[in-house]
Amino acid sequence: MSTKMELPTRDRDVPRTGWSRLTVFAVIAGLAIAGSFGGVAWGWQSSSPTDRVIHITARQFAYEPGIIRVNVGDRVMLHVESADVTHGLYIDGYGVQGKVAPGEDLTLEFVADQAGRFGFRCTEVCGTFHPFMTGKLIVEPNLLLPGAIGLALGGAIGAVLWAGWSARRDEE
Amino acid sequence: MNTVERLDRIVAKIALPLLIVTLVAVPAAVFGYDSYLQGQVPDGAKTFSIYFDGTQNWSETRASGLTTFSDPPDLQEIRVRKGDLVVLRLMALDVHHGFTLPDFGLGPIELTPGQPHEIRFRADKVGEFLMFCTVICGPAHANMRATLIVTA
Amino acid sequence: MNAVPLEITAATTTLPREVEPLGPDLFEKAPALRRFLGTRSFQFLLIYPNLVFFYILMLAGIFGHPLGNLNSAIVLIWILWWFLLITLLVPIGARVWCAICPLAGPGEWLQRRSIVKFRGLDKPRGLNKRWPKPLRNIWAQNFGFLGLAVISGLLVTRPIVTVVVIGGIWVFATALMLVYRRRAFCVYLCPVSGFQGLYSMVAPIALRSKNREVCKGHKPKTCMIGSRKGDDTPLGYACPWFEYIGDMDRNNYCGLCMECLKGCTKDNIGLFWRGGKMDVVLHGRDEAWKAFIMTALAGVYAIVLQGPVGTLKDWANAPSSGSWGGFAVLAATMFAVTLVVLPAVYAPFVEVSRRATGKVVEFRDLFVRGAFGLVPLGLAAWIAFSVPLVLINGAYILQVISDPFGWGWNLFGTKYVAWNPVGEGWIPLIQALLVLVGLAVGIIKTHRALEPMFERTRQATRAMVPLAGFLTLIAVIFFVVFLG
Repeated sequence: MSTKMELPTRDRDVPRTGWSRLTVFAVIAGLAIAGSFGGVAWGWQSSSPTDRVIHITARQFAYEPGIIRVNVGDRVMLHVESADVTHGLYIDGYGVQGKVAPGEDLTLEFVADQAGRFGFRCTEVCGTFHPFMTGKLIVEPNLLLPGAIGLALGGAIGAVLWAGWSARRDEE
Repeated sequence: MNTVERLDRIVAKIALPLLIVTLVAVPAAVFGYDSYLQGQVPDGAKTFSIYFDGTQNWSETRASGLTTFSDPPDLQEIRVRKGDLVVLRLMALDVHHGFTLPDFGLGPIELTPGQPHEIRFRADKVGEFLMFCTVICGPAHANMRATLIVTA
Repeated sequence: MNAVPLEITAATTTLPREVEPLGPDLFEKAPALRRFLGTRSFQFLLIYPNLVFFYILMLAGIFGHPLGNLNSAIVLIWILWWFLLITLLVPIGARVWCAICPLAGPGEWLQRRSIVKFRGLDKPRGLNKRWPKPLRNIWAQNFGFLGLAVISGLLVTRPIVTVVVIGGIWVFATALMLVYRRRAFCVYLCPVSGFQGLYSMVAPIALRSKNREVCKGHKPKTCMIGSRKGDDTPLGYACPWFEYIGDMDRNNYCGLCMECLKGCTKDNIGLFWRGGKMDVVLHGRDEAWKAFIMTALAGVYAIVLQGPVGTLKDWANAPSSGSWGGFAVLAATMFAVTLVVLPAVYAPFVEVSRRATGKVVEFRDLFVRGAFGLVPLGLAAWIAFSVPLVLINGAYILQVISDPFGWGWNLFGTKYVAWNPVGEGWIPLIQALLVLVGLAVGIIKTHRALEPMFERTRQATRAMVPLAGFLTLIAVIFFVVFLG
């Protein structure tokens, strides 16, 4: 996008418009941040808590499905079964856990009352890649993601301005 | 002579002997301690280490018996005499396994990898008795069996 | 004098350097520290426990339980040691690990025909060859590191692979030290050394000369070429890292072995605590690519090892899953992403930056200098990757300390501590904060690196805008990986 802007081609006289362009950039970024928060919040508002029944198959060394998406407030019922050897399942943050041997059905029930991203992982040593047998539970609205992106945009602009300002201050 | 020089002098003197002693002493301590632990059985007991390794090993898919690198290499049978005190040291190497020797009322027990399990019993009857894995542990699960042979 | 080569690794740019000010000298504040580090024996005293530790771990890798998380060779190296290295030792202590590294110790002792005593330089053992000129950069290190990265899925799960790699480094380093002089292996080849050099740039610790004029006027240059027997004590060897501390202004290739401190007859060496100040200038494309490689790998590992996709895990774990085709795809992807994709994404931002400032700087110079932003950001991403390893698997550390071989010992009664993640609900928040800090530091310090390239600071700021956009893009990718 920057190539389309009228950038000075001569080095000596950089016009003062540089800063105002940055200001425009800052405003756009601010709108983007507000927009991403608003969008997620709106998406969350439009859903009401429901019961979710989710079937998960554990195998060496992954869960199928590996990603579970629910909304905050949902009552979640996980049915876990194993395709090969004894596995387990532990959900970060929620502390919900259980163990399942092949042929068994492990049922884990909980209310998804914390929003965000939570890993889940195997609890029973199940072979070489056991420590990397992971999945993730997304409880919408996962505000941390748009929040972090917004902060990164704002922080990046702030960092550039601050670096430039402090360098010029040092010069004087 | 100040402290620094004294330190240098002492360290310079002991460094090489210390390294050589370490080279020998560390393995000696490790294996010595382990055989001390292994030796905690009554005199005359027949001890067997049984490692459970299903299909999950490095580099190949193998339908193994109850054991891999223990002695003997692929366990088919264990022979003891009637009246012997038998000690079985069980260890799962890859995934959860189980063990049972039903004719002696042993098991089923679950074996978690890395957690050794020791079973002691007296072989008080003559015959051939089946012992096998009780936790589904992969495609080779059905092959995980061996015979205890008790002779008169 | 002329015969002594200054084996500075990367092609140094002709641009004026931006050296951030040094803070207080820790040697002045703590004379006891200076006395201790000035002894000939301190390095052995620190290496020895490490040597015992790694020796036990190698034995455990060979004779211990074949499952990684039950074997100290895996748990104490790839969870504990790695965590300490990437979160504490390097970001705070720079290359302090290199000073206490047990893998290089034996080779160095053989070269010197002595462990502690100073025997002079006249008859070093081994061939004492010079490192070949074409290899005086860190490209070989970069490729070696990538080679290890390709098999890292096996390296961190199979004790025997760890033994082959760590033991291999041990043997190879020792052998090479008998062929090439000093620590050529460490400077140019060691895979652990490369990223330590890169990330030690941000460390608040810096070993430097106190007054460069004193160094300039000191003709014998004992710090660089070593003391002669019969000189005044204390005696020091030639800098094993081929550095001349008189004009050294970066941490990258300083192994903190303190030979210069011992050999300096002018008491002109200081260990400075510079707080948030850091080395900000990358030299040469090899270093820039090191930054690309490390940053991209942090993302690849987070996706493959900590992500939810089973197929990728099968690929990384080909010996178990049999998907060698996938393994090849993953390996090719790692090479492509680190060596080509990330630099190719970065290049247009550099060009925009160059055009925005009226093409007064060479593309290549801006490309290399601007890549510094990936150093703090990449380090932050690595810490973000490593923190969960310990929060989740801390119990494994307790378990293997009691049972290093996985044989069923219970030395300290912690063998049967239940696996229990700690603070795992905070992981995404911690990761987000780390990446944010890395981004901000990356931008501020890259600006600092750009300042001397331009006549006016305002131009540096202008040049920074597209580069900051690039860094933000990378940060956002990490957010999606860690938080999405």
